[in-house]
Amino acid sequence: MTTKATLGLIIIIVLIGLAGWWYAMDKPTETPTTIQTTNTQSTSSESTSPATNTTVTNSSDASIDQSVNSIDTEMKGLDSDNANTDSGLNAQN
Amino acid sequence: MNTKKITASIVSLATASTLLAGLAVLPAHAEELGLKDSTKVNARVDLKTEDRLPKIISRSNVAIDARVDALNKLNARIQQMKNVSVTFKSNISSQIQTNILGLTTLKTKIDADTDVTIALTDEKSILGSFRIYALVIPQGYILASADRVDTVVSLMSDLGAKLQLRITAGQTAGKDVSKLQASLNDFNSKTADAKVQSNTAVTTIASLSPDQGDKIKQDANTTALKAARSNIKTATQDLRAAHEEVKTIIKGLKDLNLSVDASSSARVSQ
Repeated sequence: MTTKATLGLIIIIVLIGLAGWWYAMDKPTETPTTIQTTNTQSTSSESTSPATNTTVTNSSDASIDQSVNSIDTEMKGLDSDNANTDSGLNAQN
Repeated sequence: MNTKKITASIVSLATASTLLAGLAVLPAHAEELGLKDSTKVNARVDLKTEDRLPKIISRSNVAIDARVDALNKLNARIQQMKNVSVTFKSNISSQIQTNILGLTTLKTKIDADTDVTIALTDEKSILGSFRIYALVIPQGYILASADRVDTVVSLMSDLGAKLQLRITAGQTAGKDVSKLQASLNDFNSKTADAKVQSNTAVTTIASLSPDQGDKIKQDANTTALKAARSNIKTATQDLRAAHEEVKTIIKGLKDLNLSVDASSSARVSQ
């Protein structure tokens, strides 16, 4: 094997290594754990990369949906409480 | 002469015998004819009493059981309240238990009643002395409703902050968010009013107590309960309106396609 071929092989290996490193560095920012901790308050991690920010947007949607669901549940409970109040008031005894 | 005397004697004896026989038979005929003597009338009254008393007792038991059941359900609901202190819950629970104990004691008394008049008086006291349905139940559930309103207001406040963040991000990204911001402002206004209404409801009914037959107090209690119920109704309508605004805002945010501009969101929030 010539020197040029050896050098080319080393360069290819280094490039593959760099690509793997970049991929590994990028992935963790999309984990749900990060999403949950950044969905209501902004943090510096939200502006580190575009991928992070996209994830935050998704987590915000989930967080908003969760809030809306909780509100829906409580509103049903409120209807039930109101019905019980009216039941007593209508009995009047 | 002797013959006449003997004949007269025989006629007198026959007449007397007929009269005596008639008197002896008369009560039996009287009964057959349906005539009432005092003994029979008294017996019928006693029968009527014996018939009425079990009905009064049964009716009272049903009424008391229903109230105790309603009070136990109210107590369970009170324990689920989220925005009041343990002491507050304990005080309400104690009042409910006092009512349950009073009703249970009254039930025992009514079960042992032997006089219709006393039983009827005891039956009336189920209503007048306790006012479970007219006061205790609505008062308790209005407090529970007010607590629920506070819970929803708190959840909506958190949600409003999240929505504001998104709207601001959209604005920074150059989107027209004027309608969304107007909806969010209305949302905030409605939730704030719901909180005011629930507080007013609680203040209005917090110190009400049974009227014990006092008509003026009864009317005042009813007026206060209806006013508080009206406050809760307004609060509920406020929250429903706020809920509708949330739907509008969420749809509007999706239409802005903010996921593309999310980096702006992050930058804005720094």
